[in-house]
Amino acid sequence: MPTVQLKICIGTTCYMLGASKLMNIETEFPPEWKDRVEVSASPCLGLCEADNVCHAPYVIIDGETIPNASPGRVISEIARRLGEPVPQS
Amino acid sequence: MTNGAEFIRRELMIRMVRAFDEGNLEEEIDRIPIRIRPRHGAFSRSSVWHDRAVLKYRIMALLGYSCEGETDEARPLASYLAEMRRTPPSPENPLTVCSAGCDGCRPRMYMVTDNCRGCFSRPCEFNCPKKAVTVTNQHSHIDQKLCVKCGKCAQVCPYHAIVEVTVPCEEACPVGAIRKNEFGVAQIDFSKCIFCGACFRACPFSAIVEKTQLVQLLYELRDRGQTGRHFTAIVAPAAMTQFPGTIEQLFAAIKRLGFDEIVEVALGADMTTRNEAHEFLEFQKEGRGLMTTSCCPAWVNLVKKHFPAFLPHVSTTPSPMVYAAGIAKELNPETKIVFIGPCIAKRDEALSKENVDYVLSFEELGAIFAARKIDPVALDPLTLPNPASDNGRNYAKSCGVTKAVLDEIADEFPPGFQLDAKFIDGLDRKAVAQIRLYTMGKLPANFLEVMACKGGCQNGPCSLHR
Repeated sequence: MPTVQLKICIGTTCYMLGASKLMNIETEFPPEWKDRVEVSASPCLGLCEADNVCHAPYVIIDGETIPNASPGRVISEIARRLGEPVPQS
Repeated sequence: MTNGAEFIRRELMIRMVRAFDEGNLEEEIDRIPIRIRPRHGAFSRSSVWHDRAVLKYRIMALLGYSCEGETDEARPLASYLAEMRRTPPSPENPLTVCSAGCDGCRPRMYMVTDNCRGCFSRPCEFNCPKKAVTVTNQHSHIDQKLCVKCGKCAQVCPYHAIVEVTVPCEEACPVGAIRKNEFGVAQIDFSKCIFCGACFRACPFSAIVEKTQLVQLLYELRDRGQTGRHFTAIVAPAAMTQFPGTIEQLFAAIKRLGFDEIVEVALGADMTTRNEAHEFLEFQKEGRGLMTTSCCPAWVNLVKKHFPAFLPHVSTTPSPMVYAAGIAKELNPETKIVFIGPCIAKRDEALSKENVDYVLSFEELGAIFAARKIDPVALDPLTLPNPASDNGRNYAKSCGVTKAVLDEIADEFPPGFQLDAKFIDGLDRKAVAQIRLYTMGKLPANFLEVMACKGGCQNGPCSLHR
């Protein structure tokens, strides 16, 4: 069974621009994903420099940087990597 | 992100602070709209040029100018910035409407959609009191000249084919203070506005903008070495829920912005509690009936502007902000006081209180942290010498004031006294109708807490979790 690592940037820029809505994202996962997604939070990852501020919030999923990370986008990215259908809420 | 309005507002603030910190705000300020909406990039209104025009007005408001006050459309932002540095604009009436952004709404009306089947029973036509609805060619039509917008047709349509087209700011305003003018642009009537921020939250075009002191304060804090001024941040209890990390870590972050002293407004709340509780006992002893809280400035504005005869029923105890400012002045009589909170109405209240010099919102505070890469959660905590009580810190939650006040005097009620405490959690039109009944003595209560924001100040219009 594949597993996925999700790292959420909660540096103040990402937090202000949407990461505050990602902090409890685990509660939106389907129960089957338990033990298959490892979620962690990180202080500023330095991805929001210069004109990139408009692409915050950032998350990193299995080493890949995902900009403009809304809860919906993060969940569908995880589903893709797990080989599962996108959960319908 | 839940909406684009919040995003662009915060992005712009962060870019402004960054440009300021790089030391070239004067040269950069007119380019910021272009950097946010580059020529071949994405846009959210009709074009990048439209977006840029709106951004220009938003920046004017961040400098403290009202968009309606513009007399020369060709005047660059750098010129406003220079004027702001010479003579700061008046912080009076802290809301302004950006006319370039306010163009999306049709006037309020009822409209028949394609769901209409032109049915046989035609309840829309039969129930219209003004004969404004007719069914021709198997489709219902509303004559807008005859329609009085009562909504009966929409209620009775079995297909839900008739919809109300709304103007969100007008619909949200609890006191009818905002209306479209003859150019179709929303206009705020400041003789009625209570600065609750309902329109600011509701506008889907983000055309209602706060006039702020952000940029003025950035200069003041930067230049404190030369001016020798001392600055105290007085931090609203709603701060508890704003940023990741503990409140002590947030204090450490605020200290990094150059503040010499930090005072919790919750300490002031403890003083409000003591005085308001005893005022309530006096009130009851004298048989003066219902007493309401006074800490929410939008509520106090509502009474002053719409129910002036009810003013004797509003507690005269000063707000936690005022007491906290007093504590700060005792520590240093020369200090400049910056209130940090989630509230638009506090900007208006601060104006009339001589001790408060600046108001900074949590969004603006967050933007400064973001631009300077300050993560409260990564800092060592700063414990204040005189922390507030839990009840004081709970003022930011609905019913927190009531609990604090009643805890204070739980043992002091005279024998036979029946407490009847009620609360209003969020000011909308329905709540205002209910308040009208309280003012007329038609609803029973002897203690009434009113919070303009649902859930309390922690959900204020400029909080990070609205």
